[in-house]
Amino acid sequence: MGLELYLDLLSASCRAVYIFARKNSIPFDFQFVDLLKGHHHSKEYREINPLKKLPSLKDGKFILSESVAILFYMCRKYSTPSHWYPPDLHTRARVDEFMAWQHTAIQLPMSKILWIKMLIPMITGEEVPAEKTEQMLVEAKNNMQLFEEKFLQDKMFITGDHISLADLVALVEMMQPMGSKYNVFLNSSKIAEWRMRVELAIGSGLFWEAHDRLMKLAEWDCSTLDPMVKEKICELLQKFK
Amino acid sequence: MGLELYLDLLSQPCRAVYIFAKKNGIPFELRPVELLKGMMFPVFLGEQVPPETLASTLAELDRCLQLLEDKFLKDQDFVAGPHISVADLVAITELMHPVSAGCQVFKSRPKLAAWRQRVEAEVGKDLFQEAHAAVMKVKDLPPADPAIKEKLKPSVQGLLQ
Repeated sequence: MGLELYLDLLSASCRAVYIFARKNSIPFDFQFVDLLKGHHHSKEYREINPLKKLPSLKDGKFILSESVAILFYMCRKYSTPSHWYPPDLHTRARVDEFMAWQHTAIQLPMSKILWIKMLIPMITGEEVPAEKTEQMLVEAKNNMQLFEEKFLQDKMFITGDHISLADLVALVEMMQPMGSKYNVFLNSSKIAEWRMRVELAIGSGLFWEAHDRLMKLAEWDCSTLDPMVKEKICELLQKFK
Repeated sequence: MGLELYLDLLSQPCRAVYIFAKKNGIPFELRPVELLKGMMFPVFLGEQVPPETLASTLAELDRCLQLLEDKFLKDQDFVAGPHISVADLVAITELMHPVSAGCQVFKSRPKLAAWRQRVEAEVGKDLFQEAHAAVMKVKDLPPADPAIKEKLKPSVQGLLQ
């Protein structure tokens, strides 16, 4: 049995891993773990990853979670082209810095936008108070500005002239609000241009294939949602009130 | 000009960096930066944190500690195996944070307590105590300047939600 990747492309972290593996022709078995059906909480999946999170990698007996760790692992094991994770001390440190910062600065706010604008109203039938929504959008906007000023600056990509893991991770996360038709790329032409560059470097076909499930989220029939998962989401709504 | 580290030892990530640099004899100039972290919410806001918030935060902490034990530490001496790594440094400095607030993280968890002893021994007791001196004294901090308190109030309230 070869490399197995446990994924649901609804998740930004899964998309980063999927795109990277496909782009570098790393052979793997796609193990679909349906987030919308709550399968990440299943007994079977908990044996793979007790953290109940996606993505996970299984390489023989070796199991790895955390998309950043998985991306680094694939770079090392499959000796992917060096621009993905450049060997130069300072350039690599810049990628590491971004990877550490993005969890709370980009991934979290972008994911919250999708929840607040679409998933919570869709599943619970209730809107999140406008004040909270506004707060969330402002936070996301401020962090996009920080991204532009500190990480992108006037370069083509985060590390300079070539795409790296940092651009891949940044973009898939910024795409998350698109699931609720909210486009964060409209505020800055610099970021919009960077977005296009990253998409082209990946290949538009692969990029949009990876984002298909996210873009079709609005069509999801949430009456099929596992009741236990629905309950957890209703609890989540309380946190926003 | 050599390596400069901008740190406030009240911050967990700063402690991890500080301990690592000192332990490995990496020459650096410490540039102290004073953050007013305000981890003591009641002191800062002048009001108690709602009990439901405290309860759910402690429950979350408990859940994370369980995961740390079951998934990362397991039956090993250290997080990544038989030897100390940066993962242990990061974990220990984070866990010392609730300890400084009087939260007995290690009390009912003998496995974690044993691991903490091992990490402290590997780092060196003196260096470990030195790095944590600031945060252990945080309860004795003088009251924050009212102007700074006002400025930080919205972000502290944000953290509570």
